[in-house]
Amino acid sequence: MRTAVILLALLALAAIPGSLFPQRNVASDPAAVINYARENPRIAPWLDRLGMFDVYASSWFAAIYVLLLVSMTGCVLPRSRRLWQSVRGAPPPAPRNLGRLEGHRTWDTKQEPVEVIATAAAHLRRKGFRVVTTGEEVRAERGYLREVGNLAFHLSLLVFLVGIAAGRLFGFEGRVAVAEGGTFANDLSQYDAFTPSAWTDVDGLEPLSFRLEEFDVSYQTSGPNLGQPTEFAARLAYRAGSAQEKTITVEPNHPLDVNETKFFLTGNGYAPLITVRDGRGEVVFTGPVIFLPLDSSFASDGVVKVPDAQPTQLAFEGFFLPTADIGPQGPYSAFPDALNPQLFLTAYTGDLGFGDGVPQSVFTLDKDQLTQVRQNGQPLSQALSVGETMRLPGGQGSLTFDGVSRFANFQVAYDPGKEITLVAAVVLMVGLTASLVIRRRRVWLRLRPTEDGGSLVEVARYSLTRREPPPDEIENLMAALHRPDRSATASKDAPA
Amino acid sequence: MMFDAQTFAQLSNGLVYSAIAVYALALLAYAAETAGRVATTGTVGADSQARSRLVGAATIGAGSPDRSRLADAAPVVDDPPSRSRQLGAVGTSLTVLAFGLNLGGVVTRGLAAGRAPWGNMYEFVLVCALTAAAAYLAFLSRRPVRAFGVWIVAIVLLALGLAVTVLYTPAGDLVPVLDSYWLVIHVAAAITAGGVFTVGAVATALFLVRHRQERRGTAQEPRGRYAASLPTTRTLEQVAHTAHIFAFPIWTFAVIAGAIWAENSWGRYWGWDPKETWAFITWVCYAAHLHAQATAGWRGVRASWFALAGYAAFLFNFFGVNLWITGLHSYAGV
Amino acid sequence: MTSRRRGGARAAAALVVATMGLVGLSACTTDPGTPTATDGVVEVIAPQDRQQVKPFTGELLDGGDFDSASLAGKVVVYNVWGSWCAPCRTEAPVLKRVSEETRDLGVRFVGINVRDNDAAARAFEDSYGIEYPSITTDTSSDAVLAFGPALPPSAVPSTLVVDTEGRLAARIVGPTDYSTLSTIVTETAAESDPDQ
Repeated sequence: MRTAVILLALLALAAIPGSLFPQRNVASDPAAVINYARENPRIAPWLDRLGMFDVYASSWFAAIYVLLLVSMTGCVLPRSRRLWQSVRGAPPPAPRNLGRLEGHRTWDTKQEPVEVIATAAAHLRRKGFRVVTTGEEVRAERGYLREVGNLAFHLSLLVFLVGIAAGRLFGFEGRVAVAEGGTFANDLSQYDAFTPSAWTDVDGLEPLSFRLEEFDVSYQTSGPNLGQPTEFAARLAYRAGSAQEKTITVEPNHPLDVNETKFFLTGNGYAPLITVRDGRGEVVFTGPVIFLPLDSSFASDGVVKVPDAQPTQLAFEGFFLPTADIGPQGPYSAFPDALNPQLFLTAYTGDLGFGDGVPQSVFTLDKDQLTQVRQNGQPLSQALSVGETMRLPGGQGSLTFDGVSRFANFQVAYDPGKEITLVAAVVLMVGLTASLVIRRRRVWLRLRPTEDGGSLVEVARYSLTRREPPPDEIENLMAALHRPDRSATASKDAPA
Repeated sequence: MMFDAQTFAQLSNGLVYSAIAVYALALLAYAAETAGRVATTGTVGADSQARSRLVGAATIGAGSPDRSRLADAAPVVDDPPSRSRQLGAVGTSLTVLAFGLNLGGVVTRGLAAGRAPWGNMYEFVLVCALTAAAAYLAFLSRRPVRAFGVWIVAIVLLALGLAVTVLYTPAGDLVPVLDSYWLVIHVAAAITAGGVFTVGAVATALFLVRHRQERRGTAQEPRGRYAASLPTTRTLEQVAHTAHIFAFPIWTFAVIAGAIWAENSWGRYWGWDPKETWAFITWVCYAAHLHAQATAGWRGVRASWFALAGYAAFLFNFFGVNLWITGLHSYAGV
Repeated sequence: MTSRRRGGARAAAALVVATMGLVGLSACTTDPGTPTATDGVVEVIAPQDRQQVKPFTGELLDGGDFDSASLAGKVVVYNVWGSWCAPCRTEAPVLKRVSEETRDLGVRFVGINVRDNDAAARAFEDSYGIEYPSITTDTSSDAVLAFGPALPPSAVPSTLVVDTEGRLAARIVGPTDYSTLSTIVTETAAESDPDQ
């Protein structure tokens, strides 16, 4: 037990740094570690060496819980054996000196010994005790379930972790952003990010595809929580395997679930609909462009690249403001909903840098070989409302803001082994409660013949748990034996 | 409808402020009672006659049904000064009244928002204060723990004061991700456990105080009047133990329910988000406490420190993590 | 694709860590917005190990319908691409050239456009003079699922060669060069040629 206490204390201590330092692989902010390292260039490498950015995957953290699990197993197995033996065996005989035990009472009786023993045994059995009688003794014990609960708790904790481990070893996590009207096929190549586990069966991904038909958001338009979202709903048309297309509305807490592959709606933003014409007047780009939100009012930034525009490649960069307003700091978004959507764009011509074949992020512009488009000596910058067009000087091309659509961000998880985990969790809870609430104790009754032909009755109780057993158990037993009150002599309670 | 959401919200605020006022009065009464009890309690070598009054007020006041417990509440009980006893009774009555107002504040808040009233920090503290008071009153009905009153009410008052000044959020809808029945279950369990842990922590702290003074004096005659005025270490330990074994499974359930909610919302049970981490630390501390209680050499004082560490982790998880550390839970209001 | 953890001891630790299920494993994550292949994979599959590719349909950028069944009996080269994808631009001339050179061998090329918009895709084809058809992004799901595991993450561009019996004969993940593609396509076409 002492080992367990020390290891538990260590485990608690070891978990602390992970909450104070940013962690890799923690969902809330993937860039947190990088930012921290930039702000603390001196200590960050040292912290990294100590595993402070990977606490829960570090070997020292693993060492603690592995030792804990080992010591737990080493403790639980022998105890299970002992429990098994004690369940099969009978309650032990009464100790010689019952007077030292708690609740010790003695009295004289004229009743037949057989009768007293039968009555006491019947009473205790009715109260749920396991009872064994001899000629002069009643031995009773109850609360075996406490130990059963204790062991069930510890064993199910192991199973619980194995269940989660199964999920982790065979499952995966992924992420994908889909604009309204866009499609997704459940194939590795379609994910924005995909994190498999050691034994993920990537060949066996659920054959599944969907189209984001519509994404609805509503916001509180009045009251103290103005601008707080009240509803997110993504309407998907999906097809699983060769089944017919079905529609489903995915909301927070209501994922699309196809055979344990789940698509959770975890984020959203705007994808303005944009059409670009090049210098020849050809439409060289038309469709939604995902703009990444910057703040809670969904001011977003994004980039449009048009590498196949002729005679020169075109690029646009800027902000999307769903409810554009002008403040002292310049344009900003006053509300997250698209009440007055505007695009603020600047334009570039030249070489987007695609030629060398190096992959680019679709969210940033490589401006090395680009020239900002200027007009009257000033960089060309224009605010567009829906339907408006920004024309580049010299007929180099134009961009039209056709409308507003939204994109939804889906967190994808495949996590098998859920049933094991759930069953284990239930057993764990029941076992824990039983092990803490049930009070295991023994009650003995002993008869000794007295000189006047009657019997001296002794009863006492022994608690095997810290919590005190029910206080009136002995009194009830005595009442059942019709103890004449006046002849009773209650001995003083044994000290704790 | 006679009452609309706005009316309920105002009513809730009014009830909460009334509860604070009445809790404050209860605190005064309890403080006066404690002062009276301490003043009339003998200290080692000071007054051999007064030492017979050690746990009088608490034991008699609670009307414990168990005679054997009276017997172990040594030393021998004497009638405490009636004024102190009356003050204690006044304190308890006021606490019950304040509890009622607090409950009313929570219920009307729920009616105003049209959902379970624990969706943000303000509401969480409101309900946590309520469960702490409830747990105290529940213990008081069966154990001689009126000496806790002054501390519990002080904590409740502090929590409510923080709630109305720093954490206040007007009643309103939840952000969609919090709209889940697992949230209701998860937070309800966490709150219940928190309230009972509070009683456990007070009992543990008082146990440590009394134990320390007993070692400097004797078990019957601890050093220091305040320690001497407390219930016996045995009673304190039992109350703490009962509180902990009641709250620990509930906390376990809260953690599991939270994991299920997380899976429903984000697709993973556990992600070492700071909130999750501190819930885990809390759980591990209390687990260590329970193991230590069953370990020779650790039982009692050493084990108590684990329980206090667990309570500290619980508090930090709520205040520290919500206010200083950002994570996925940081949208939970404030 | 397996987790890329280093060293035996570390692998053991990783297993244990995974056992606790408390860690997001880190391999294979790409930056958001750049699902582009860089490190190339070229794999030619021996005839006896080849897997059948499920038939699929889609709409074409030039307006027609596509059904993979209509190309049964021919060697078909499918190229997964997007106009936003820089490596696709380096390999576009290669694909154009090989498609023209092998047409007489009965080889057909089909593009699978992904994560794109049709106007930009058409402009791309225009720029590089690509003549073979491409399935539109909006209807590409079927095609992508048909190739399933052959397409790893960051699989744009990828080139998949299907033999005359409709089985996957080779895959090239990442931009291809002329000699690789030409050799693979020619050899696959020659397999079914009774003269050789």
